[in-house]
This record gives sequence, structure tokens and C-alpha cells, in this order.
Amino acid sequence: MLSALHAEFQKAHRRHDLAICLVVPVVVFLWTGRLTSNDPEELANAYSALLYALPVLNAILMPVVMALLASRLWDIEVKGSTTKLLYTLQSRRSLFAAKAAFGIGEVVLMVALEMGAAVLLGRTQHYTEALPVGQLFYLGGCTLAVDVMLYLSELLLMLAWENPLPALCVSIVGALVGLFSAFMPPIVSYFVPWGYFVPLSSYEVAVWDQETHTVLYGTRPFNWGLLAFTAALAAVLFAAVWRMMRDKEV
Amino acid sequence: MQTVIETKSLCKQYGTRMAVDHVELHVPQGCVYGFIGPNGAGKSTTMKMLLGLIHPTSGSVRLLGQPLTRESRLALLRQTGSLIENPAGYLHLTAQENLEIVADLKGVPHKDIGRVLDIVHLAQDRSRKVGQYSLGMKQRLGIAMALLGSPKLLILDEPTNGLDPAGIQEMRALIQDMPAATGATVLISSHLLGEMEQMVEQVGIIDHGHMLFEGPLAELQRHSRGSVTLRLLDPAKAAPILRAHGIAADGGCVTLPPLRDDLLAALVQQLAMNGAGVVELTPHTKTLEEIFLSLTANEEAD
Amino acid sequence: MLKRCIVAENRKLHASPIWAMFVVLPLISAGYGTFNYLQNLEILTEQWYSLWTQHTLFYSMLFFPAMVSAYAAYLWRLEHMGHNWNLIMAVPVRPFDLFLAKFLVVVKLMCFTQVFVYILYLVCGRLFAGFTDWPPVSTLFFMLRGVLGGLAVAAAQLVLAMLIRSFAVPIFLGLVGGIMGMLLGSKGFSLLWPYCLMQQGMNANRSEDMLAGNAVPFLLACAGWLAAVFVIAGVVLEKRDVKA
Repeated sequence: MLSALHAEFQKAHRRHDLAICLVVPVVVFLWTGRLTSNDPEELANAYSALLYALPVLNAILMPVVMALLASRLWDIEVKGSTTKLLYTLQSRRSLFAAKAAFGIGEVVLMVALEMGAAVLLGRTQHYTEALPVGQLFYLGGCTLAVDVMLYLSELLLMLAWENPLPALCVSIVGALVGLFSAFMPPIVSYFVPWGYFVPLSSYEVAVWDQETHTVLYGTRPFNWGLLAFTAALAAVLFAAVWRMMRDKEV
Repeated sequence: MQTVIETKSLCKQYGTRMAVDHVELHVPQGCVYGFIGPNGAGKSTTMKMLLGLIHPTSGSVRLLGQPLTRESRLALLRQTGSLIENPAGYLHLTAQENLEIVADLKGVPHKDIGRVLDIVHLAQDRSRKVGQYSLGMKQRLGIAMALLGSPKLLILDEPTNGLDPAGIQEMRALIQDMPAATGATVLISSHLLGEMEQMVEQVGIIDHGHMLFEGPLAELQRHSRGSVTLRLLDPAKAAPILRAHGIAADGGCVTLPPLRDDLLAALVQQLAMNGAGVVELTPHTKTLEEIFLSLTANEEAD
Repeated sequence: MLKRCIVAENRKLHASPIWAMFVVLPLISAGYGTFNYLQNLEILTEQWYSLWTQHTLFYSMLFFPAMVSAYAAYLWRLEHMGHNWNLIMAVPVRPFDLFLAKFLVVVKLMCFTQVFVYILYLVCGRLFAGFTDWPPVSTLFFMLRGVLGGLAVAAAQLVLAMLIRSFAVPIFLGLVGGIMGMLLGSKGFSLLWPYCLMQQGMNANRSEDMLAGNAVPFLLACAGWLAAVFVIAGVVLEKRDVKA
């Protein structure tokens, strides 16, 4: 297992995956950084605004990013026609475990960096609201769960077609549907896994004054049920990817 | 005779490594020219420079009597067919569709497709997706692509890769007949020397980016003459003469080192006059393989 | 010569399901747009204009670049796979024509999509939003301007996909380009970044015409960006060694 993981690290050499993991938080940083102004009233509410905005950003970005990570991991084997070689060199279990562990590791890194970017943004823009640590961890956990679930679903598509095209198209369409579902009644959003970021979010608009353009955010209870469902979905996909890789004929 | 391919001090440098180092190629018209060297010797790089796929670090290329420049490139490519490295092709399309794409790009009428498919014996598999082809079939499709439009110059990089022995035999016959049948000049590269000996007239040998030899195949064989075995009726009478020439004699068979023809004739006459009874004289021409090894060995000793 | 390249390019796309996305994305976008319009009638009071913004907002900002990127990446993936660079660069056509052919193929599909978006807009407006008249002619211009704005994006994505052998990375960069475009556009720098031009042209986020009286700079920006990307593509194709 360790040697299989080591092999994945070697393959990632010169593939610039780390750059991708870095670009995402940078984009998030730039994007959300633009949202806040210097208005003292807004700064007093700024973390809430940020944690309200992040799930929407994630719903737009993450489906495509997860497809990107999955394709980086699997497309090298397709392009190099190395699957035949690998299946003779190592057990399928170790190949799967290494791919899954490596990909999930990248996702964890990305989520950590994204949360780091949020804190950094608060520091650099002098937010006056106290950092809601618990909320930040909840958001990180939710983002991680949905990301991993999406990553596994994209990996499944990648394996099924030996071609990154369907996975990428599904991710783009998924991002669009996910984003739209965020603005639909909550019940709709439960049917769109790509957009789970938003119904999982614990922030909501409490007061919106159209005249003065002021928004006040409030929190709502953590959505443990949906988080558990997301994790369950991820587990099912994990099993499906494993079955697909185990039974694949090359 | 016109020179169809001519390069002057052609060089290609990757970082600090000279992949091709002052290569001078001269391919006469209407011949099959074998471009021989081990893997990584610079054959593909040279051929890519001939086609303008990569740009030389220095030096120049003339094709069909014209210098290869940005302006002349397209006109020259129109008269050229090529197969470089591995066979290309769109895997989700059939062989017929692949050839249609190449024919469109070359501006060749589609009726030529049937002809090239027949030549490479793929006519029956024309409607199958190339993704399902074996390596040898893909290779033959690549050759069909090169043959489209009956080009005056064919540049084939290891075209026998992946072919079975029967396929290699067919390819050999096809290429050998090409100059007579279509007037085409063929530049063909290989690392397999044996298969080249039977189809080429001219050879260029390259290793580590250097040309080691260029000329007619016959000259190469002469150039690297082999040893000669003498069978004698009376070895005792021959022994003093041979010793005088510094050759050890034991028994009725003597192996002479490679000698110039006039020296060999003189030695045989001397032996005969002394009653040694020369009954058999067997020249051992080196195979291309051995010549090649000796050429590359010299190179390394330098 | 260009014509031959286009014919070949169209042949390569035979039996490829890529166009499906060009049907699905506008459909989803229109469905959501109409739904949202009907939900927010009290704020969206400008009838056809309001419906237009709802139909095109997310589409033109984020998913149009991603969709065009996917198409561009697919066209170059065909060449990146299986040593086809050696093949296409050794045929007697100008390398830039190969690029231009791919560009025109993308543009063709883009035009179809835009027209499809507009037809969906008309259908949704009449059938679901209950309008009894026809939309103002200016919306038709918005749609056509969207095509102009999209040209530079298509060209830029083709350059990225040509240079980057990975399929997914240029698509991701296209999405990032769209997001950057959204940010720059809201700061008023929309003519300085090609990915903004489409959003500006489509007039997707406001009901008043953002380009009113400013058509010339917009057209110049479209032409300028397109020319710049073409020059880059031309130089790359001439100077770069083929790696297959």
C-alpha cells in the first residue's frame, strides 16, 4: 500500500497538481475579497457574509475542480496505456487505494487551504466580527464531504469511459444545475448533489433591506442529516469505484 | 542524378545534448535509402527536421532541389509522404474516415483511398474503428496515409515496427519496388540491419547524432571486408610463408585477417608456388550488423 | 487550403457526442431563468428585459466559457492523442489554417448555441412568462453581440488547449477566466479581459444597455483580443517544435 502511494507521488511529479490545489484557494480569495467593502457595518458582519458566500462559490467551482483532479489521476494511465502494466505489477486493491488516498489527500489539502484563505482574508481586510471557529470547521467538514463525494463520482465516470470528456461535461452541467438549485426551494436542492454545498451551509440571509442594500446574515442549525447523507453517498461511490476498478477488463 | 534530400551540417540541440550533430545526408533520386542506427541515435529527430516538424538548431535542408524554408515548406510537403515514430490516427473513426481526413488535408481525390488500402491490405477492414486495430494494422494504416497522393518522396520512420514476419516481407517488397513503380525516392529508417540489407541501395549510418558512414550498400560491405579462410592440402609447406606474414598456422584451415585484394592474390600465388595446395578460399563478408558494431566501436574508441 | 482543413475538422467530429452539452446547458439555463423570473415578479418588472437577464446571467458569465473550453479541449485532444501532431503538421497545409479551421468549427457551434438560447428565450417568454408581445429588437442585438464577444474566448481556449496536453486543465482555466471576467467586469474593466466581452455583449446582468453609445470600443476590444490571440497562435505554431 505504501509503495503504491509512493508510486502515485512519483507519477504526480511534474504534473503540477499542487498548483491546481493552490489556484483554487487563490481564486476563492480574490473572489470573496472583492465582496467586502470598508463599511464598518459590513465588516462587523463580514465573516458571516464570507461563510454565506463560500458555499455558492464552491458550488460553481468544485464540480469542475474535482473532475480535473480525477482526470489528472486517471487520464495519465489512459494516455500512457499503463493500466495493463499496472494491473500486472500491483494488486488492483493497492492501485485503487493509492488513487483514492492520493485524490482525497489533494482534496483535504485544498479544503484546508480554502479555509486558510478565509481566515487570511479576515485578517488582511480587518474584519471586526469575531472568527466563528465552530462554523468554519463545520463549513470545512461539509466542503470536504461534498468534494470527496464529487471526486469519487467523477473518478467513476472517468473509469467507465476511459475518456475524460463525459466526466468533464457532467461536471460543467452539474455545476450549473447545482448553482441553480441553490436558488430554488430547499427541497429541490436535495436532489442535486453537485450543489449540496448550499443546503449544507449554516448561514442564511436574515434581513435584506432592498432600499439601503444592506444584508444581515443569520445562522441556522447545522444540517447533520444532509451531511450524513453526503457521507453515505460518498461511501456508496467509493464502493462503486472499487468494484469498477476490480472488475475492469483491460 | 539529382539529390532529393540533402542536409548541410544539420544540428539539433536539446539542452546540452546534441541529438543530431552536423549530419550530412545525401539521398539520390529514385533509390531506397536506409537510415540506420540504434534507438535514440537521432534518426527520428533528423527525419522530423526534414519535414519541418521541428526546427534545426543550425544547418540547412534541401528537398527535391529546393531549400526547405517556411515559404517552400508546403509546396515540398505536397510531394512528400511520411510516417514518423508511431502511427497516427483518430481512434474513434474508421480507417476509411481517417484516410478521408488525410486526403482532404493533402488535397488528394478520395478515389486514391481504395488504391492505398489495397496496397497495405486493409481494404477489408476499412470500416472498422482504428481503435480496434492491432499495432501492425495501425502501422499499415500509417503507411497508407503516407502513400496517399503518390508522393515523390517518402519518409518512413521504422515502418516495419509491429508488423509480423509476413507483413515485414510484404513491406520490404513494396518499398523495394517503389522507385521502379512510381519513381519515388524512399528514405527509410530502422534499427534492424538485417531487414535493410535486402531492400536498400544506399545507406547512412548514424549513432549518437553523428553520421558514421554514407554511401552505396556495396561500398559499405567492401569497406568493411571480412576475414578469409584458406584450406590447404599441405599446411607444413605453407607454414614458413604464413609465419613470415605474421600469421599463425595450425592444421589445414587458416584464417587470414581482412586483406586488400592485391595482397591476398599475391599471398595465394606464393603459397601455390611453394606447393601448399590451396584448395579452398572462403571470404567472410561481415553482415551489416558486424559492420555496424565495428563502426560504432571505433566511434567510442575515438 | 483553409476549406480543406475545415472539411477534415468536421470529419473528425463525426460520431462525437460533444454537441449534446450545447443543447443541455441552454435548456437548463432557460428553465431556471424562467422559473426564477416567475418567482420574483415583484422585483423583476421589466418584462422581456428582465427575462433576458434571468436567462443569460449565469450562462454567459460562467458556463459559456466552460462549455467553449470543453469543445476546444476536445478538438485538440484528438491531436494530442496517438501522435497525430506528426500527421497534421506534415500535411501540406499552413499550420495556422489548422488552428483557424478549429476556430471556425467552434464558432459555428457557438452560433448555433446562441440562436438556440434565443429561441428558448422566445418560447419561454410567450409560453411560460405570459407575454403577449414580442421582445424588443435590442435583445436580438444582445445575442449577436454575445457571439462577437465569444470569439476571443473561443480563440483563447483553443490556444490553451493546444499548449496544454491535459484535457481538463484548459477547461478549469476557462472557468477561472470566466470568474475573473465577472470580477473585472463589475469593476468596469470589461474591455481589458477577453472573458468579459461575452458578458458585456450579452448585456446579461442589467436591464439598461451597458454598451449604449459604446459600441465602438466594444467592437475594437473584440477585434483587438481576437487579433492578439491569433498572433500568439500563429507564432506558437510556426516556432514551436512538434512534440508527438
